[in-house]
Amino acid sequence: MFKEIFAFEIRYRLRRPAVYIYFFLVLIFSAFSFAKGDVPIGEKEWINSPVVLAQFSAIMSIFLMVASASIMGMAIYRDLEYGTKEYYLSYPITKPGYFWGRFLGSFIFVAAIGAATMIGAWLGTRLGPAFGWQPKDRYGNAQLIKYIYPYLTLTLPSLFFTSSFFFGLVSAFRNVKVIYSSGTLLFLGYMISSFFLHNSHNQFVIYLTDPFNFNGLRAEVAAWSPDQHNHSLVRMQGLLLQNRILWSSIALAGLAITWFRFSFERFFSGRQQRRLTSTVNQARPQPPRHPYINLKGSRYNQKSLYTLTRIEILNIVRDSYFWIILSGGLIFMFFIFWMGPGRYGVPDYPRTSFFMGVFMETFPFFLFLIIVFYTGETVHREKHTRYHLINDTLPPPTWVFNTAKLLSLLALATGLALVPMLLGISVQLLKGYPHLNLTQYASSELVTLLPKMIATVLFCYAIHIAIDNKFAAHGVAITIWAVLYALTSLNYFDYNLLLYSYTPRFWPSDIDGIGHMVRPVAWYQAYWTTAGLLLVLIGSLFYARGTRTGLREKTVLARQRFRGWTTTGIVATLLLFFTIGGYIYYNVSYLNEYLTTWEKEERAALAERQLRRYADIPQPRTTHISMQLDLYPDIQQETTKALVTLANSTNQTIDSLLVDGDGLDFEVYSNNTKLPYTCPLYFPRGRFDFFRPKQEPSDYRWYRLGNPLKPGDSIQLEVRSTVAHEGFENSLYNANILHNILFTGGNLPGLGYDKGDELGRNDIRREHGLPKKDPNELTRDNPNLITLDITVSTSADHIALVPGRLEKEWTANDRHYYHYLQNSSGVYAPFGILSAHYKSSATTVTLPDGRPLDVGIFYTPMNDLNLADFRSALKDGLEYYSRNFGPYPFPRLTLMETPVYGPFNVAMQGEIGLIENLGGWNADLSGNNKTDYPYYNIAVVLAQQWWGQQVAPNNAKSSPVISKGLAVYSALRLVRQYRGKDAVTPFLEDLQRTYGWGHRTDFDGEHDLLHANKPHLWDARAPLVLYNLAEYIGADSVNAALRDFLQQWKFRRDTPYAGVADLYSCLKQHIPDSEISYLKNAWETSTPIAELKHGASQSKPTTTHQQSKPTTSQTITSQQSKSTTSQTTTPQQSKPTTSQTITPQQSKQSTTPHKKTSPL
Amino acid sequence: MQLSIDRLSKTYPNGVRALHNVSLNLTNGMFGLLGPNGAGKSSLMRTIATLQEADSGSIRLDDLDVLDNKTGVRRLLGYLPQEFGVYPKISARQMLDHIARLKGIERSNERRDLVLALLEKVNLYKDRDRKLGTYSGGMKQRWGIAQALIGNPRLIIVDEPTAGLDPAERNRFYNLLSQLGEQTIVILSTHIVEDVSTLCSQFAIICHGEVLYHGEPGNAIKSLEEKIYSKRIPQNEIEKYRAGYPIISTQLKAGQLYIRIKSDEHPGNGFSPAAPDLEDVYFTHISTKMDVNTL
Repeated sequence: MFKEIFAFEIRYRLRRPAVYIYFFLVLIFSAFSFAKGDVPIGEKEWINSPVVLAQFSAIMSIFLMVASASIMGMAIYRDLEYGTKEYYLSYPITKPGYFWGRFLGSFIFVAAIGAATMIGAWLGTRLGPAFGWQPKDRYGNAQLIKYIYPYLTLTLPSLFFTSSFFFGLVSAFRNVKVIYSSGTLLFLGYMISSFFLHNSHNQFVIYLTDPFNFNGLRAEVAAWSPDQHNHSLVRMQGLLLQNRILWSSIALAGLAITWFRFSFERFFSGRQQRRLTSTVNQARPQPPRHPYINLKGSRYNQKSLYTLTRIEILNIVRDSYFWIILSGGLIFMFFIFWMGPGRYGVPDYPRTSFFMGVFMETFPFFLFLIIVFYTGETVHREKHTRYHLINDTLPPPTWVFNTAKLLSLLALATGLALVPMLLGISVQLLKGYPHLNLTQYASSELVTLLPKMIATVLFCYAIHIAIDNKFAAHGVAITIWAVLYALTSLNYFDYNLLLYSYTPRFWPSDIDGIGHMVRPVAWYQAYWTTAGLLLVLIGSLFYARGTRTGLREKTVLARQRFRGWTTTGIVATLLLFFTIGGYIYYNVSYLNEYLTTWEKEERAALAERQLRRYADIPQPRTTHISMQLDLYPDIQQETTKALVTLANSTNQTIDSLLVDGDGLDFEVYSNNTKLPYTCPLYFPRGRFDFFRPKQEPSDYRWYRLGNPLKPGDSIQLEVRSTVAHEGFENSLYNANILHNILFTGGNLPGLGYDKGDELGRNDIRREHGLPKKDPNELTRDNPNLITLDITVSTSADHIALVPGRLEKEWTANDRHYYHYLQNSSGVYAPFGILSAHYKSSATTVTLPDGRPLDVGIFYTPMNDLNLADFRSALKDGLEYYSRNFGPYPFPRLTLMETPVYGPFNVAMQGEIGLIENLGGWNADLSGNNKTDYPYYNIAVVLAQQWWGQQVAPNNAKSSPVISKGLAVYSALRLVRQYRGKDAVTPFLEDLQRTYGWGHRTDFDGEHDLLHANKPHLWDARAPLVLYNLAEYIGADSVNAALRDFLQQWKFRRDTPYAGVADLYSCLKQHIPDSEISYLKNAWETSTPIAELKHGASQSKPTTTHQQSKPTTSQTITSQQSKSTTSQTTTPQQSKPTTSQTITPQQSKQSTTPHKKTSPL
Repeated sequence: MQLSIDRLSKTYPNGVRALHNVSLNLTNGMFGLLGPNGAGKSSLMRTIATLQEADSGSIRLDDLDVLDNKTGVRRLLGYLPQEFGVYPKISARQMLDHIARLKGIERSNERRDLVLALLEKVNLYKDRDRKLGTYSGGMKQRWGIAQALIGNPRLIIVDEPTAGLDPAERNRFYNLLSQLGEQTIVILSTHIVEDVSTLCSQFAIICHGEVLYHGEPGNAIKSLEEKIYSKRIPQNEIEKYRAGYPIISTQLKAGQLYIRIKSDEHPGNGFSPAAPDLEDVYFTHISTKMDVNTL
């Protein structure tokens, strides 16, 4: 019997398109991933390395869950659905034959679809080089064992697990929806546990809890070198093997239980029907003699609409699977909301902007799936239940049925859209958080979530009514959605006018809410809602009422319906759609320039090819700026009038200036006459900007000086510039000019060719025909000390903060004026100006030399929870740093909160800033974890008032060892001094992770500190070795060296500027001979920190003095390096290192002081 | 009321010719549709019930163009389809109330009385609050009858209404039908020839999408008077008889095989005259179109 059923199953499957579709989808996806090299690899690893193949197999087996669910689920459900049960009960079919025939006959196809991953990978390995998509040397040899082994050890057991799981569920519950819900729960559960695993150190848990073995695999290969990656098969041994055995056994056990519990009769006959006890002998109801019947007019239509909508909603909410899926999502979301973001294990306060932001980041696809699924159920419910034979002969006009369905789905979508708000408010109330930002909830709901949900519903609905077959419609809708998602998230294409339901991106902020992005987003939402309506109207022409089948009948019907109000409606909506679209196009592609990612890169490449030759031409440098700056945050405008003094400090005569406008609208004047200029470079028009000029000038201009500037001479030029954004753009714009906070660099163009604008990634450079970039090329300029005289005006309710001494503050014409002066020491460029709707808290700190210093904290009103902590950090820092490195030289100290778009952290003369979402403003320090990272963050940026603002490092690649490394070291010592040894541990651990990951993955050949070229060296290695040194010989000696260094190099006006070698030689002078070799190894070699030997222990291990000093830091170090192997295995985790790294949210526009140091 | 169907044709996209030049005239009263499986009965009924389009031809209900003014037809219609389904999570009573509202019964008290009375009539009163998904096949069929009668329909179409009903429920249903007013057209399709002869004033036989006969049952039977002969034969001789006589039906009774033939003259050879019934009419017409082999 088994043989017949098995053979039948195979023949049946072979006739179905589904298995072919799955197979080829997987095959094509895998082939492309490997042919195009879209797999996560380092530069030195082969695309088809065994590690990549294994990881790919593991990841794909998670997604193949979809295939195993639909195939294994249908294997026996089919008999219920098609009602073939009578045959099965009457035929002489045996239970083993049926059960195993069905299971194996189906599983073979799941296994075959699974095999498509590695077949595809193998094909991709061949196709990639053949089509020239990837160079041949990116691939290793394609031995079959490399493909077969991961399939057999990873894919197949995982598929067996999911297949048994779904097969068992369907035979137990006799229902196919159980697959949707359990699939969703399994997937969400997997995401939750992965989230846990990221924070777990327990090897056993990491390896064994994952049915797909992905986490274990990742941990296993984390520390592998490129060579191992390329040559070693990931063998199933140890915990990896145990994982496979464990989950295969679970699958087998599950299957066995299913088998023993399986009974033909029970499976086919279903639940025993419950008989309700009847209440007999009631009065015989009498029908009304002549009921009032009204079948016409709007009153009838309204009543029908009401009852239809009601019954549709009842149908959705009475389905228990709806609640299972919904509660699965809710639990998951509640979990994320409750845990919240956090750093160093310290959670944030539950901020509104986080809830709305994370929801829009994480859940739209999940919501889309719910919506598309229930749209399918709702649209096809009548046909599916065969109730349409009655329903469709009822009198209401078709549009009433149509509208009722749409309304019920919109109600569902609205409910779903409100979930994050309700959940967010509950979490905030439960946690007792005082700042419920109801305005922000409301604006996020109205501007983003609700319209997005409505557009989603309209889209799904249109597709489902236009396509008769529910599953085909699901397929079409999900495919379109996935393509849109892939296009945008992989940065292939982002022209929102052509991407259904997409709008410009923004990040909700506590300071500004959605701010000025409301307008563009709302326009796009209106556009997509209209588009959705149009889709629905057109789709309604094909709304299937009755038993009509086939295109011919549908076309006849559509033609019948295309008249009267329908025509008017469609034409009107179409007009509206084009009007809104035209307006958006006018803003995005006419008023502003839209460029695709490729075009932007190509422009950078063109500029590099044409202008790089001017990189080294002599240019003057700025020495003084007098500026009148008017800021209008409410209308997002700025005007600048600046007198700039330029000095020729080269030994050649300068007759032209190469000016980099950086998108500014500006003119240069000399003695009140506008200077003429020429453009050295034009770009071709963007491909979507049809109505703009064919040639667009680049930002560079040549200005010829009337009187050439001789060496040592200087001139004064006047720059007038305005920032006034016309219209809106395709993506985020004006990120620095928010209504409540504004950050500007003064809007002066730069001087000279900017290497910082060149394309950095070699793969992208290759696409644009550029040579590889020299990794050691200098991209910075030397520091430049300038004096400032700035008068700034801003809105009356704003406070403006500028480096320097506040000379005068006044109000006139309902505007707030400030005059700042910095004419003594000068400031190192670049500098920035902040204007914001701040609250402030001022204190006076008495410095160690007895001088009182005004210390101000400027923050948004809701972020007042950690002010005391910040104050103590500032006080401690000023005291410790002044005492150890030299007095604080500036007239005031200001700490500012910066907005979510950046700058991430600010270190300007007398001013430091931390970003609102990650800086520590929201850290909830009341919990168990007392890691006071806000204190530490402040300590780091404050230390930059010494390292950076006083000692400006030179332009060498390694110079952040001074500005960042020393700042982190200082902060560590500060925490150690004021908060004790234990308080430093989390920060040391974090630095260890940064260093450990960088060290393991620096396959270019790790440099020593003197030639540091990577962040993990200056951010982590430098402070760690200094910190350890201070532990060995006492902080005073190290600090004395740094004090010396500062004294030698502070406020330099000309070359040479401080370099790492200078720092090193200062250190050497203060270090006792016993530690010289430690210092040498730490700075001149790339020996891992854990292996550095200190003191005499390397040569004289028996010295009692050395033994009696069991160095804490070293123990910490070795512990850390162990735990880090399990932790820092993800690429994502590797990124967030110290507080200095750039946030992913930091947009290009955010003017972090990385620009040219010489503003014109 | 008069329903006139004129040269109605319909071919499905898969090539099946469901209706071919069907012309019928129906007046108030009960009209029976007889025909083998796949004859086109349901297609015809669904077309009248506005569920599908016709390729050509016309249907008029008095002045109403059925194929064009579907809403007009739906306002007069009560339809019980063959093998219909229901929303499984909604109770019988709630669903009838919903349909009553859609059939224009605006006042909620009248709706309530009507729904309860109908549930009583189809013997579902005690199960009125159960979810339709828990109903058995017969209960669902009775619920279907109830919904078709809501709102005083003038045109009632019932497609094999008694399928799945036990004899008692079947009688109950026929009683219900016969109580309907004189002003109503009832179209009933069935396989049970006897039902047509007892219930219907008019009937038609359809096969392969064509109307083979249209008239009153009595007249039809009368037309076969003295033309039907029957004989008991040994089972193994059936082929021999099939070759020699126009057999219209065969019947096994207690192991004996009886055959009936149509013949204008007495065939002799042991055949004896028999009283014609509607089944003879049915088989006589069907056998001209298809091979009726009941053995």
